Amino acid sequence: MSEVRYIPNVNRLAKAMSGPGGKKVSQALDDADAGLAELTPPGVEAIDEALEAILSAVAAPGPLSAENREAIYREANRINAMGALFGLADMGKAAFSLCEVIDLLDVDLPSGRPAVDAHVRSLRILRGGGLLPTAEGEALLAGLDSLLAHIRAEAARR
Amino acid sequence: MNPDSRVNLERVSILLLDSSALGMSILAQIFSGFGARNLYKCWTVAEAKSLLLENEVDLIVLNDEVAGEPGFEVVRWLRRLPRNTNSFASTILVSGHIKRAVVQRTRDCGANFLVSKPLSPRVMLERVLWVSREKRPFLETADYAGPDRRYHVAEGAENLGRRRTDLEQDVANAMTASGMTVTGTTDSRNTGA
Repeated sequence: MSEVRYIPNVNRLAKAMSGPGGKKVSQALDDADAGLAELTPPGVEAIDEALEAILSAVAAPGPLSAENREAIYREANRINAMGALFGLADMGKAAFSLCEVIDLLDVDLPSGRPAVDAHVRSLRILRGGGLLPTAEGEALLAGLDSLLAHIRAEAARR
Repeated sequence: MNPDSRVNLERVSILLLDSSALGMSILAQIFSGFGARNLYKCWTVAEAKSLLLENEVDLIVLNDEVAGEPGFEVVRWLRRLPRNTNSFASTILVSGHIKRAVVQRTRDCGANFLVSKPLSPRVMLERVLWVSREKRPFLETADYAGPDRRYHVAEGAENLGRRRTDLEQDVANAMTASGMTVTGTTDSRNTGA
């Protein structure tokens, strides 16, 4: 028999936030956005570094090593975390999809490597593409969604 | 969120835990923008643990991965600390993509809220406000310590009073199903303020 113990919640955060002062919610959001805008140059630089690392990890043909899979996952997750913050939201979405694909590759899937390559090419296009029309960017992401669905189905059959 | 309502983080002590310089800057800019003045910046799990043992913190915001260590382990450690004023501090875990292998452990670590990246100031402020209204009791079992997860987050804190009356029966049912016993208690760890 194990025991469940209840502990009433005394919310110290609520107490600390009470009282006069502070700022309007609208001002708080504006100030936070302004602070984040200052980080755009290093943020975009970090995204480019992450993309370079991914390109390096997929440079060799053939099955991806566990080490390279981990590197791709780590760097794609960085892009996922930062893309939308620094004006590269579509890259962030593609990177999240790449994380999903890599996470499914713990089993050897025939479509795994082509799916990774397709995502990496898409990331390059989305990064390079100030010229990419919005509709084409959306179509690209829709294609990655389909690819991910295929990989999920393939993994589920294993 | 009413844009004309006020938010006051001036007296709130906040621990930020992120091992990446840019990640830390993002968190710091967001909370500084909200008006927070007391930010403890921790870059390693060890640094965060040391700080939590020696300082009272009202809000903890931590990344799900800190220099190769899972952030959720910090929350698990914190919730199990005996007689520490921070054991039940409000905690927001920030995560990017989570691998299938650790999804369950991340969700079960005992954080008050899991916020997905990419972060946005709006979402973060909504979560902070939600956590500040949190009234869920804490539970301690053999394999979990943290807010009672049977409350649905989407319902919002304003509904918690209504559901609290339902809880005892829920627990009784769960006990019956799993062979557990319940001890109701008030613990001084949660009254540290």
